[in-house]
Amino acid sequence: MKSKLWTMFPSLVILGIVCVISLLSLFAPKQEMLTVENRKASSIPSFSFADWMSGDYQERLQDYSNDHVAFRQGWIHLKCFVDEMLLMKTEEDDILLGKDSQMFTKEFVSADENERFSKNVSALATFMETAQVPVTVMLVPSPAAILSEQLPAYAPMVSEDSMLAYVKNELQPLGTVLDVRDTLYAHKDEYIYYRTDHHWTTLGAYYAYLDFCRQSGKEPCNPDWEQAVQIEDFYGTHYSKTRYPLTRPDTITYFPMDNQMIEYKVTGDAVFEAQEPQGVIDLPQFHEYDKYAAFLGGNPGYCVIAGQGEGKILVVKDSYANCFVPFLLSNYEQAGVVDYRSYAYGLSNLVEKEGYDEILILYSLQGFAKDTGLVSINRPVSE
Amino acid sequence: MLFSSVTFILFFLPAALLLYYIVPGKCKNTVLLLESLIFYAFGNMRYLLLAICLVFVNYLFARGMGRKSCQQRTRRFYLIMALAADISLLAAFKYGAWLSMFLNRITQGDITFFDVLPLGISYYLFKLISYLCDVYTGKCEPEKNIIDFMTYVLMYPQILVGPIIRYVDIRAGLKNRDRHVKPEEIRQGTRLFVYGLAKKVILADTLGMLWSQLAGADGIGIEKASSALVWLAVLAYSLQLYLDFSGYSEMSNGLSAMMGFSCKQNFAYPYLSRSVTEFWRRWHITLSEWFRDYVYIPLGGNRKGMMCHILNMLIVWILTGIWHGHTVNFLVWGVYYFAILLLEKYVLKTLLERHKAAGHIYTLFVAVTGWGIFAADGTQIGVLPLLHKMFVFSSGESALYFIRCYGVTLLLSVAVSGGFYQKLQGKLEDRRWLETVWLSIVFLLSLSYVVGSTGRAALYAGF
Repeated sequence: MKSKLWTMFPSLVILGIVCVISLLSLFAPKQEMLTVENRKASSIPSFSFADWMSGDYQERLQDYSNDHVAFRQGWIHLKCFVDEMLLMKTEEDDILLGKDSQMFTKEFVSADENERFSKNVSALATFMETAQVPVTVMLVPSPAAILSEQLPAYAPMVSEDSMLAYVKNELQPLGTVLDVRDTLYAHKDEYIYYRTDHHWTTLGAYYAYLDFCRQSGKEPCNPDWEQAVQIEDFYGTHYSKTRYPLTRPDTITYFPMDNQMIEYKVTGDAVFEAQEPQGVIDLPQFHEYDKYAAFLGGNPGYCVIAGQGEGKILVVKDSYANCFVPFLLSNYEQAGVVDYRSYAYGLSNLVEKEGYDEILILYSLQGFAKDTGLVSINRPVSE
Repeated sequence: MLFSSVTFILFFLPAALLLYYIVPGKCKNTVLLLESLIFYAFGNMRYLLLAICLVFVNYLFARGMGRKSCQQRTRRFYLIMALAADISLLAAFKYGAWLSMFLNRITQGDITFFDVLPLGISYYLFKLISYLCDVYTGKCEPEKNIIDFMTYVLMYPQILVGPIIRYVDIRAGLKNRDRHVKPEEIRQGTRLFVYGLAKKVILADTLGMLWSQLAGADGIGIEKASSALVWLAVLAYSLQLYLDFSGYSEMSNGLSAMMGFSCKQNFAYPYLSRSVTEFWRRWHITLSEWFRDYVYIPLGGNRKGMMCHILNMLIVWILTGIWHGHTVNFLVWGVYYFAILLLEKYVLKTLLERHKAAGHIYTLFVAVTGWGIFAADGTQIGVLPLLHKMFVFSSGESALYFIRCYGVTLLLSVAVSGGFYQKLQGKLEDRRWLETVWLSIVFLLSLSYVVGSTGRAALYAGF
């Protein structure tokens, strides 16, 4: 008997490992939220014969078992460790691992022209042709364009310079295209992009804000950086995907401010209800995993912040603008913010109703090239 | 449910194996059959009934052929009927989608038929055909026990991607009523399963990313890539295909071994071959042998003169090509191998025997180029642009980044494809502790890939 067991000892050990993980997965308490992956864990599917026949039930059951494997995060870390440290890959889940643990969103040269990008540019062109107020467009280059020395060697990244040249060519005659490349490049040795996240830092946004003021002839605010609050241990979206073992966590900087922000529940074209007022910086969010979401409380479809300056500005944006908008508050009496990921109407009614004097289109170039909501900007009024 | 999924490894497999071990010998086939039906139903419930019906119909035809009173003419009639049913159904499913697309284009209509290929149908129908032919030629008696027969055809280790094991080869295992699985078989099975899993999830899936960088939906594309990058990607694809398929076959044979069935190996380090003829004796062995025994030899093989031999080879290679899919590249690929093998048979044979090193290089070159054709199915990359890029040097996006990113994986894959762990296993054979630790590490790493690849990239949506 003993020799039989000894013969199949490796099998017994592996079967033992499988059974332990399997039982733990079945009976350990289930998590509702996969925090690092920033999504809800699948819930156990309810059985129906129709779902079983179509295969939906089985698929959802597989999702459920994937999401609730015991030590799920540990397995993902181990996989990334093997990929990055043993197989020495320079990318993981479409994130490139650069020098000094700087991470980049992978945007390689591709056979297809990016149709979405040119669609969005022409949507903006149409909008700018008919806009009643001045429009400024600021598309922020990704770290890959500014910190290119830190990219993995020979990475065939798509040229953001030619994308911006195209944008300028199409939109410059219709409004102002603010190119912040030179400014960011001049400060490339400073901490202007997060290492572990796809956003720019508050400092990076501030340099772009200075450019914006210079261009529009406004006096920029001059915050005391000594007074800024630093939030340590920020692990961003890139880290969630790479779990890079040599990661240095980021630091988020913000300036405490008393301005009130009102988020609106949008129910139609320029039809919305005000929610409870809140701060521009959602402080409790700094204790959560997704710390960047503290700026403007995430990405509401439409919100309005009261400022200390004159005039009203409407910012149409992706999340890059979230740490930029607070700087505008010293220059404007009101800043409205529209995020087309949760807003689906044209702008003309909104601009007219709220009396905005100017519009700033502020996106990361990579985000702009993929945005699927922005085309609504020209949605006819009559709809 | 793939073998390389969480559901299979952590839940189905331990439960299925334990149940199989616990029940008495005479119930084992019934239990294995039920487990196989559940396994299949998990993938596609709709086609389970089709599979069961097909098995049943073939069972009846074979029983008919086996009756003592049955005359030779009737036996032949039964065989032809059953083969016609099996082959026409296979053809309908394999080429139905293509045919309906073709008809729609002509008639401007909008009809679809046989648009989904039922899981494993190419494999289990080939098993059934081999069984019918073997019963007809008297190689085996028709199976009377429907449970045993269904277990053979539908057993879960083999239902999805083979290997195409013949009834005559597995019959002894199925009929062994007081089946006690030997500890040695369990160990051997575990080893095969773990190595197969590692090949599939760690190496093959990683290399797959390199190929899709070139040929994927948002890949660099053939136009913009340099010749060097295309060669690198085709090389990665060749390794991926081997590691993926042989890995899956090893997992299958490992599972069979753990249940006391000894099955023929499907891959025998084909990239170490010294000729293309040898390559095909070592690559997807059960399929090559199937075509040899059930098409080539019945057609007369090489016994009816040179012209007939050449024609037989052409038929076999066209069939092998189109068995893989309905796109033109598979046909080209089949004819390509026909031409190479013909050349080898009549011209290169003695040359290759004399120059061994040249034989290795030549075989690898032919195989890798062949996989290029095989992969260029026209969705993103066509055969001609690919071959043009491979053989007419042109510049474009460089291969350097990809060599840096996938270099270690490529080297490791070459080592594994060259039999590295077979050698390692030889050293571990009598060191049980060491073998246990090594296998456990490989298994845990593989499991991390199984779980780690299930992350759905919904990150940007939420931020």
